[in-house]
Amino acid sequence: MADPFDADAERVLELSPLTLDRLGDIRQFLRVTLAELGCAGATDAIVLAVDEVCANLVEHATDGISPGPTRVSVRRSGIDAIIVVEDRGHPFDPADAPAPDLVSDWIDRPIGGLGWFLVKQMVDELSYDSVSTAQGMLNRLTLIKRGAASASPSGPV
Amino acid sequence: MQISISQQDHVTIVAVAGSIDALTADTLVTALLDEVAAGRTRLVAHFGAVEYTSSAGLRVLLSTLKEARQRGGDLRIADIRPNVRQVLELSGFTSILKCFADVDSAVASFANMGGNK
Repeated sequence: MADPFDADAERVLELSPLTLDRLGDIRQFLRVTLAELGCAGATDAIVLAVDEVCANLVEHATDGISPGPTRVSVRRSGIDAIIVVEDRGHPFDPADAPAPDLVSDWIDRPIGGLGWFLVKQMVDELSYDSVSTAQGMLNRLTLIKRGAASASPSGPV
Repeated sequence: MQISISQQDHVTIVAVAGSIDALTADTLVTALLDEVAAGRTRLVAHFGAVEYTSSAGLRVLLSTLKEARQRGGDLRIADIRPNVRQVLELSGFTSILKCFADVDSAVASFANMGGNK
């Protein structure tokens, strides 16, 4: 178990399999972990970003295959929070997510399509890679929230 | 997530508590669309106890808003916490969804709407 006083230690939540009823567990893990890491002020932003990522994995990454294990890890680097989500589903690079419609009138506004937009709004950096392994695909999404350890709890996300 | 439904001045108030995510959104949209289908198209979503919403909550709101308006009613939202309001604002929802500080104001806003079409 990670030393709760070691701010640099990586905290990990393994989900096997990842299902929608684990989203609440993921949010709780992040709230506790980010508080331990001194990043409580960035909790709302990181919780939303990771929740969207994991919901997408459940809803889109396992079509036609058994859901595999998913690993969510959080660590601090200086004042930044780094969150890594690893999964073994179908690869999807968030750079390929279509731009959302934020301006059409209600009747023309499409329902959905905002998840990746919100992820990108909530973090400062996002990188993705996908490799083929003996156990199948391994996809890794890295989210970086700059200044997470200095953000005010009541400040902007 | 908990949902409770009440009536006030011919307006249906749907009070939601807890978190709206990809798991719970289906329950909420079913509850809201059931109201619309029953002809109760003037709806106020009371979000004072909504601690969290993801984009799944946005899908719920837009689905309901479209159904209600196409039947001559509307979905309005009241008492939104700052973190939830920020999600609505970032997503451009505050330009299409009428937001009120409290439930009474949201209910009163329907008085100017006239009869259902």
